[in-house]
Amino acid sequence: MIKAILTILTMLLSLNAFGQVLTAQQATDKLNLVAPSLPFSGTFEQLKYFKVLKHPLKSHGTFDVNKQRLLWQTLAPVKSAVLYENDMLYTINSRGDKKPTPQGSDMSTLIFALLQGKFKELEKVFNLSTDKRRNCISMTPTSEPLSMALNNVVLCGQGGIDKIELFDSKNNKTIIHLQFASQK
Amino acid sequence: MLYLPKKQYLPLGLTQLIVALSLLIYLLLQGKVNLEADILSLLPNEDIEFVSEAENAFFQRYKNSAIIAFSGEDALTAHDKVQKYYADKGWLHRSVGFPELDAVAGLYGSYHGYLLDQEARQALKGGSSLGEAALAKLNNAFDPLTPLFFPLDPTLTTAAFVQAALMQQANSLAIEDGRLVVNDDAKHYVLMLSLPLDELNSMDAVTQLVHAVKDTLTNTQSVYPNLTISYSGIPFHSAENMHQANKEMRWLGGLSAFLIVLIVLWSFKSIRALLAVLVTQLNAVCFGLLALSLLYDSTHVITLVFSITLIGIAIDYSFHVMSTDQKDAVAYSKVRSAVKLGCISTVSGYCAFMLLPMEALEQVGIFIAFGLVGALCSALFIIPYLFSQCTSQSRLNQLGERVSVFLDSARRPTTVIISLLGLLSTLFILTNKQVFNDDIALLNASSEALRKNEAMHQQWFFGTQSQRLILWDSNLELLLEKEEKLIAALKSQSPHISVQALSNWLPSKSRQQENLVLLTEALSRGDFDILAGLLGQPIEVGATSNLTLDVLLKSELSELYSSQYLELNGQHASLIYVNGAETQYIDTVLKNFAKVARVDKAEQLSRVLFEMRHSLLIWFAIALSVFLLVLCVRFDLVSAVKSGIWLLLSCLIGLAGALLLQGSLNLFNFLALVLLVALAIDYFIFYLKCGQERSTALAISLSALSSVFVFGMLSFSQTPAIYSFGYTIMIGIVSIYFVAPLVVKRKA
Repeated sequence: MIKAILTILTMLLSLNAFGQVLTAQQATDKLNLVAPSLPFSGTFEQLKYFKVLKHPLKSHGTFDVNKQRLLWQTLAPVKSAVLYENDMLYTINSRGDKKPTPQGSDMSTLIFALLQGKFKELEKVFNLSTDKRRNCISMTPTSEPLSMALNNVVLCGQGGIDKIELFDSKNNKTIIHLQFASQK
Repeated sequence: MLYLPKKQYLPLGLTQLIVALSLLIYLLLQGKVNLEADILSLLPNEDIEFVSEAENAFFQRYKNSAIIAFSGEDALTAHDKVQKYYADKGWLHRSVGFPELDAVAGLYGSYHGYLLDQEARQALKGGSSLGEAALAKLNNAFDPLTPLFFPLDPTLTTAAFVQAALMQQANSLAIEDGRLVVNDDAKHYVLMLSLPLDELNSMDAVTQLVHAVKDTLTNTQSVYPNLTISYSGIPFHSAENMHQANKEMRWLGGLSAFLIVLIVLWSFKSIRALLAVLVTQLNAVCFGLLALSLLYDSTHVITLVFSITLIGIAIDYSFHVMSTDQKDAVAYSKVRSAVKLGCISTVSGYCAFMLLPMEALEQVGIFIAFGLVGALCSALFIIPYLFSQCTSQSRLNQLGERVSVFLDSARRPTTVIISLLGLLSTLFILTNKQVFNDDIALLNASSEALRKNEAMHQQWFFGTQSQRLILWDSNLELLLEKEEKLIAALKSQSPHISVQALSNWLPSKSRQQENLVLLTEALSRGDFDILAGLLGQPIEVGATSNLTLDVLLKSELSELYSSQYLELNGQHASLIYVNGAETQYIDTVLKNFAKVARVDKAEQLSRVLFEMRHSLLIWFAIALSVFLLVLCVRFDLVSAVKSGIWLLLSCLIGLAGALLLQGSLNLFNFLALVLLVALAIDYFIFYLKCGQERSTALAISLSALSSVFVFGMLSFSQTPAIYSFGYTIMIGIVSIYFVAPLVVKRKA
């Protein structure tokens, strides 16, 4: 009898750990989000944890977003950038050479939506749920090719998004801290 | 000619018919009559045979494939429902689409060091470092390949190699929740079927199965009215064409056969007359087929299509013999002599086909020449016996008289009208900007909707403006090296193009060795020291041997490679897709490469039609000369020239009429001219030999009427090739019918 009660309790606790399913509106309300109006820009600091590395990789840079263009520029340790314009996604190396990437518009649409906390957009490709932390929303991709690249994404903040956590397909973690420039 | 007593006619005629028929049946049963259906084998190019075989082998897997796409409201529900139904039937094709990145990384990561993309090769050759690029890639939070490849290859050069290969895959297919989808203006859920058509023994069974697939879609559409379903694939084309051919054969064939029977019965009032016509046709076809079976290893299917003209010519001999009173020895002898002369001149004309550079047309010449000899035998030996005792000659005389009077009264208006029409036709053809159309679509009776779907689905799978090239060589290494050189040449002036090729995924052995040397040098220069420092251990490359095709074909991604490579007749062949390049540009680059061909079935088939049209024009000139020569030798120069002019004018009127109705001319209009000339030769010879006698006028009228019914009925077909033939014959034969009596003097 005690075993049965313990089993049920364990099951209930583990269900809770998976998080409660949320709608886009509930997720927006939970973070009290006010979407930044376009155009906007800011800086970021990134910590990338690889299982094969003892220490995280640190990088920082800037982002610049307007209606049809997005520039995610890493300034250090190596200058590089991801640019979305004219419906194409490019990587730019330190010499400024621009190269198209196969991820195309899916990835750029994702970055746009993540930076603005557009849960209505994100809901189309992610299952939204609560996170252990009060100011965070956990998101699991529902379709390929996104699920090939990411296992889970967590968006945190109050009033705006200030932290993005990405867990890739090998469960390596990337934490990005965002600092939005004051809007004109 | 050897004189035979009349009593021996029938036994002789029947004996030759039975012998010919038996021999043909024997050859058929022994499998000695082989049909060659590959229209490309008509092209005079020795490389074409291998390319055609390789193309067939590459696309064999798609022969029974069909693509179905659902979009609009309820697309997902409808897709899932239909998918389950087809899965239960075992019709679903195994999954296609984007390769699993995990599997790609697992496979390629083991061969790091050997694999470099073009950009990395150029950088290393120029002495630049790849260390910074690897660090940048490592810091890119949104790169899906980095986490997969970094533990296997810290230089991330293999990841860049795979990324470059993936960039060249032009298809727009993705997988969402296990479903194949295309996201363009709308979201399409796609199903790929592999129908078990090879297990079915008849075309009817194939058509039924395809209809079962279509029925499911129709039912689904009725349940979800706001759903849009598009389908394509060879089975649907086959079924539509088969359905169309069946329908036309039933209606047009049935109606024309009925009308011919009616003409024979109405004019001759005798079942024996009908029997005589049938025996003549049977004998003609037997002779033609026998000659082909004995002289050629295989008969081209296009030969049989062209040979339909035999029916139109052979029936004329029956009409001439049957409409002449056998008791009138002089008239009967004249007709027999005219039939022989007509046969000799037509056979000579068809023998001109043997001068053309195409075996299929040579076969047409042989078939018709021998077929006409068969028809002649029947007309001379069988018909006189079959028909002599039951002819109601007075009725035929009356009919002949009426026709003759009518033709007499029409002489002046005919001269004016045909001369005027001939002139206008010449002007119309000469001033028309786009007279010819050799598009292979002329042979296709598929619906417009199916053709549109086909184009849309092809674009999803192979990209826009996709061109296919087949390369081959004696060994795999040479083949891969050739691919690499060709791709470099194609991209040297058009860097924006994408090329899907085996060498994107498997570089040649020499290139892999070169890559390893370049990367080893970079490592010893210290290009990747920062990365090695982060890892806390030195980076090593080239620990295994180079990547081979065997490894790829045994991997779970084998489908990706096997669809682009095969071994055939001791040669190694590969198929590559070039996207975004102009055809002319590709052809210019290909000139510098051996054993490479751009394959475009539609374009190649159109070229066959073009070449055949040209051959037929040459034939027309030769046949006209032969015709004039025969008339000149047998009659006189004036008659020959007059006949030649009227024949030419009638041909021009036939072509101009068809051009007016169709908008352009094609091979099948010229094929119709072949029949028109063959019929016209007989008409002119009979008038010149027998004068405008009642029996001649009647026989020619019946012959013209039967040609209009048999071939004119084809004008109602949905297939452009068939109605082109029909229009030309129908218009041309009417003109010939009226102008033929003009070469002899008015009846006294």
